[in-house]
Amino acid sequence: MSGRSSASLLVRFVREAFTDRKILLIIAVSIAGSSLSTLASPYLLKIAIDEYIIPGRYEKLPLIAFLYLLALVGQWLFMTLQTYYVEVFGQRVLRRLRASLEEKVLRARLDFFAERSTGDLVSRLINDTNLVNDVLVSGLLGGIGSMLSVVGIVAAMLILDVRLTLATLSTVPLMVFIAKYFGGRIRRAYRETRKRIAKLSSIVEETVSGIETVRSFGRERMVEEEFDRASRETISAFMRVARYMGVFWPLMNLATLASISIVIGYGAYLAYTGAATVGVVVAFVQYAQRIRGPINNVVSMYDSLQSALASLERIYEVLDDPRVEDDEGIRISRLRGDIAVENVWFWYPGRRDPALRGVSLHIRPGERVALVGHTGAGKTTLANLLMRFYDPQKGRILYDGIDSRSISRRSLRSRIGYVPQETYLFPGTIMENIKLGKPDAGDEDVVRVCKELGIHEFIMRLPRGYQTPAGEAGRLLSVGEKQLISIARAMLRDPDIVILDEALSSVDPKTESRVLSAMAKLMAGRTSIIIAHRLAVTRLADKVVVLEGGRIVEEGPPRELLERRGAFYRLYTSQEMLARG
Amino acid sequence: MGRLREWASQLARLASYMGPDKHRFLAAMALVVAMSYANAIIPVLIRDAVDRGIVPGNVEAAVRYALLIIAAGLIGGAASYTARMLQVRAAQNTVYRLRMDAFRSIQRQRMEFFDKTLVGQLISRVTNDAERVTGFLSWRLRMLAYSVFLIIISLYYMLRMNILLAAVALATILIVMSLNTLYALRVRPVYDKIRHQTGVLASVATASIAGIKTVKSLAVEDYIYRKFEAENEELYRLNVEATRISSIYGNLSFLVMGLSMGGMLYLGGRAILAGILSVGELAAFLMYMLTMMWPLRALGFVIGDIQRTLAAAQRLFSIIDSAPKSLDRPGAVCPRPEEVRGEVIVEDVWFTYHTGRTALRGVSLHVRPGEKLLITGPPGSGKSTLLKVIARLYEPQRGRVLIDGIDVRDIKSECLRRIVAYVPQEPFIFNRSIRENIALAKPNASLEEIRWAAEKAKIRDFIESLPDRYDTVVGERGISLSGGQRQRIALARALLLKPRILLLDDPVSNLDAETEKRLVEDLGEILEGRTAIIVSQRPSLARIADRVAVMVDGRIVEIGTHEELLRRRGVYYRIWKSVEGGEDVGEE
Ligand SMILES: Nc1ncnc2c1ncn2[C@@H]1O[C@H](COP(=O)(O)OP(=O)(O)OP(=O)(O)O)[C@@H](O)[C@H]1O
Ligand SMILES: Nc1ncnc2c1ncn2[C@@H]1O[C@H](COP(=O)(O)OP(=O)(O)OP(=O)(O)O)[C@@H](O)[C@H]1O
Ligand SMILES: [Mg+2]
Ligand SMILES: [Mg+2]
Repeated sequence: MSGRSSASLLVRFVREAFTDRKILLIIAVSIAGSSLSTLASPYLLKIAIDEYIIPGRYEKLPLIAFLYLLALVGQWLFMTLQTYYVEVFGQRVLRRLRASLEEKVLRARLDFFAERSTGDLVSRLINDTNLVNDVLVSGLLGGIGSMLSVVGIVAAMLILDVRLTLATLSTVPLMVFIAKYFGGRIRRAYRETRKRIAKLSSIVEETVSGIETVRSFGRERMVEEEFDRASRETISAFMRVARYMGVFWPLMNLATLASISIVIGYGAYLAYTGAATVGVVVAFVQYAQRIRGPINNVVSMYDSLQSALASLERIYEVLDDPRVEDDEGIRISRLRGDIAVENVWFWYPGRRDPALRGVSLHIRPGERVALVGHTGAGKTTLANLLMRFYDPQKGRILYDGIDSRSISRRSLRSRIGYVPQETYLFPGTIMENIKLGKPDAGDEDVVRVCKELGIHEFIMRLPRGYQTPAGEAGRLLSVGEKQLISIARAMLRDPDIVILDEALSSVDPKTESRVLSAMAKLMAGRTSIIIAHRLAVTRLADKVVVLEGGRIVEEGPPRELLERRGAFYRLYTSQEMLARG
Repeated sequence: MGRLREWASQLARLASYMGPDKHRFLAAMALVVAMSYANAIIPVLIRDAVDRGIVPGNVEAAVRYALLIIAAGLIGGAASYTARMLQVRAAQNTVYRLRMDAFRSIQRQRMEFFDKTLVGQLISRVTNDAERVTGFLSWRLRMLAYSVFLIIISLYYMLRMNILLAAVALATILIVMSLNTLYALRVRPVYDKIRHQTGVLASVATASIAGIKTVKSLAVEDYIYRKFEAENEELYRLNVEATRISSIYGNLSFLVMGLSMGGMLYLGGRAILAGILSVGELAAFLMYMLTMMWPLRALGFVIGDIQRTLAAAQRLFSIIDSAPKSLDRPGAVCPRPEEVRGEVIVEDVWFTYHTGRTALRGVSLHVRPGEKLLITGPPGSGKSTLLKVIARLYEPQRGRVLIDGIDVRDIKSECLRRIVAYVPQEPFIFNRSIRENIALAKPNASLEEIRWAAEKAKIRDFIESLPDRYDTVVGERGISLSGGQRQRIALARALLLKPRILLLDDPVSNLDAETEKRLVEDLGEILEGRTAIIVSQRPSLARIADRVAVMVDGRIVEIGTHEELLRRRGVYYRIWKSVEGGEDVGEE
């Protein structure tokens, strides 16, 4: 991290965060108040000893004791204010950071997710924001307080006695050195422990999410060895922290004691020569002890700043990622369902070969299209482009004659019922999952759609019907059930276009054809695109499109294509032959 | 009382994990006593320095005491370092054992456990809970001992100096300690709620990221965002609540300290005037109060923490206890893979999931050695469940599964895995290289073997067209692969093992007809002499199957050869007709 960029990171953060003027004012007042009262008490102690106790002036003693008490009460009051408002301020910053990260993630394009793991993103959203709050907000404000305390204490000491001040401060360079030397090392060692712990979590995550696979391939022992290794590494990382801390704290303590000793020795000499009073020396003994904390804070701030900056960088990296989906463009409320794909080329980021090479296709309103082809041919990719998850690098897609790029993504998607190849169900009940298709729908709408699609009885067979929990990522349901639920979810919104990407691949052909016929009825007059490998479904289609290696190699009504004896015929007959044996 | 006994037994159990590190703990504790003595003596030395050095103007004495202070610091420091190293090592080793035990027991858990438990919770057990126990054993415990000794020793010296002031100090200590304990007790539940709420927020975020494609295609970003915002707001509220408590209670002890130090100054001043206290002693008293400030605070936290640490330990223990001692029954056997014939018998198997769903209702099946059986049927009819029961991922509540006449529960699971390979319906692709993904069960497989398996699974050409070939890392859950590519990699995994018995759950659902055809042809060859039970919705697989079974609602309703079933004109015939196309046979 270069100096300039970290400074600009910081400036940006401060500019964004420190906008709440009122709270900042309260914080400033309480910081000033608490540092003033912190340094007042030893000063009052000195006066008490020198001017009242030693000379034996009893009458004013209650007053001075009262003032001393007042200083301590003031210290408490300001400290309370300071801790409360600094933390509240920090929490507000934190809340905003988390919200903007989540918003960003929701708006990001799909390729943004390709190189990042879910765990990493979640950790930025939760852990990095926390660290930034701890260090930058509380730390920075606390650090300013400490800095003021140091200045105040030094000022008070200077008023009392210049020579003793120098004597007290003589070990400060040593403290600074110790704090600097160890600060960075301790921080790095801590970071190492966090990394090790993260490794442990990811092993557990992988093992538990993939437990069926782990278990059925007898991986248990290997996973255990891996976990064992990671655990041992965790121990050594923690031992490194312990070693540094074990040396650091006693050294800091020694430096403080050294400065007390110097004050005592030198103070005794000054008291002996009459150049200083006993009260002054006692007060300095206290100052020497009190200055350690603030100095330590200020010095260690430098290092924690580094690590907070690293987190801040990870946060801004996400926030600044240019790969977002804007929602600009024409807001459509209906689609007629005319789709024109014109010479579309598409490359996945990082892949050399295009996934689509010059695809052109015209789908008329109300047409039923079956998209078929070998695995890896680019069918899902074409669906991705139709949904505007990606935009083509070359060529364009027109909806009702409008370039898809000039239509607002969200309004486009809310008119399309798309069921992706990998169904995803959210933790929650089946009812909640289906309703996601149209959050303002009522329970009876859900039941109606399910009945129309012939899915109702499958759901009613489950122990709690629509209230059956789906489990994490739908693990409590069978794959076919999940697919049926996703279809209900997409159909609930009464879309103008449906795109099913192998949406029924795990469902038996009879159920599939029932659901598809029901859907055909519901979608009468509307456009549908069905990607399927089981070619029987093509009989419901007006048009079959065959993709091969990213190109459309054949297109036309199914019967015609069969007569042509080309690619579709080969695909179709190989399934037929397989079936007939 | 019952509670106390429970705590004691948990503590004893935790202590049992210390094992050989016990002496480290004891040595560390002894050193902590030395360390607290070294620190508690410093105010006394300061008192002597003031009274015997500064006040009478005896520089030599002052210097002597100053040096003694440094010596005390050195001794204390050395003790502190050694104690820390010993104790951290002991605590880490202890928790290492506990953590490994917990992880092993997670691996031993029945599948129901994973159906009921969230992944995030388990992660939190082995990381947060284990760390809390470590923190307690290493530094909180040391802090506890240190604080107790420091306070006792300090009180002893204070009592020797002045009884009245010592009484003030004692009263202060008691008040501060109870305030801090109260504080800790008050703030801890809020902290627990914060931790929980953080988990909730993380899981909302996780679901929105893992299901991002679904979120986007349904255009429900705003809805999800509002849900997130509500949880975020709740987390903020809890944090402010914790802040309120900690800024009031947490700082209250400073106020009490301040009040008592003010009082001490007043009483001490009077005592000095009365000639029963020296200036140095007053300084020492004030110094003691400052020295004790932090230990008192720590003490409050440690007391509040004991219960929480035990709760964390208890959560780990309950994972350990809920796991079966072993996945295998005592006396489990280990048939040699090459001697297994591959006969599978399912006898009147009933199975109910923990949700109450009865997925298998008396399934009986006899698969002869080398036979290929195809299972088909509507969604949720129990096909996958049957395979899982045969693979012994779940154990039936009634009935049994026999392989070569041996109950699968009597076969060591390690050995079972070498005999039976099971490819789940939604195989898990690890975010590693393709090579590691294929060689999952056989990490030392040669490239030749891996190529062979890839070839047979019809994925070799694709892999070899990638720039990094077998070393290509495939992304989380295999995101950079198409659906069919993932499926074939999972198949290659199983083929690599060349097991006697193969259980394939929907292995071709995402394959096109031609790839399927080539694969099925090869499969026929590979399966020569092996037993296979294949669940599929493509009756095309009937070609390599000797028999076909149809499941409906947890029962096998039809079984026989393809032709027999077609002739019977039952369920299978109707399913089949809809594949054939032609008329819609959607009638009931
Ligand atoms: N996110 C991605 N990053 C890089 N490459 C990708 C990505 N998604 C798909 N690909 C590659 O693009 C090609 C086309 O994939 P696509 O998913 O469109 O195939 P498909 O026709 O849907 O196949 P299937 O029938 O197996 O689902 C494949 O070779 C695949 O490996
Ligand atoms: N882990 C689980 N916990 C609770 N219920 C489950 C679990 N897995 C499956 N079920 C339920 O048990 C029933 C049988 O599921 P199973 O996965 O065996 O069906 P399947 O025949 O394989 O269906 P599909 O063809 O859709 O894959 C389903 O109703 C399903 O909801
Ligand atoms: Mg696809
Ligand atoms: Mg299944």
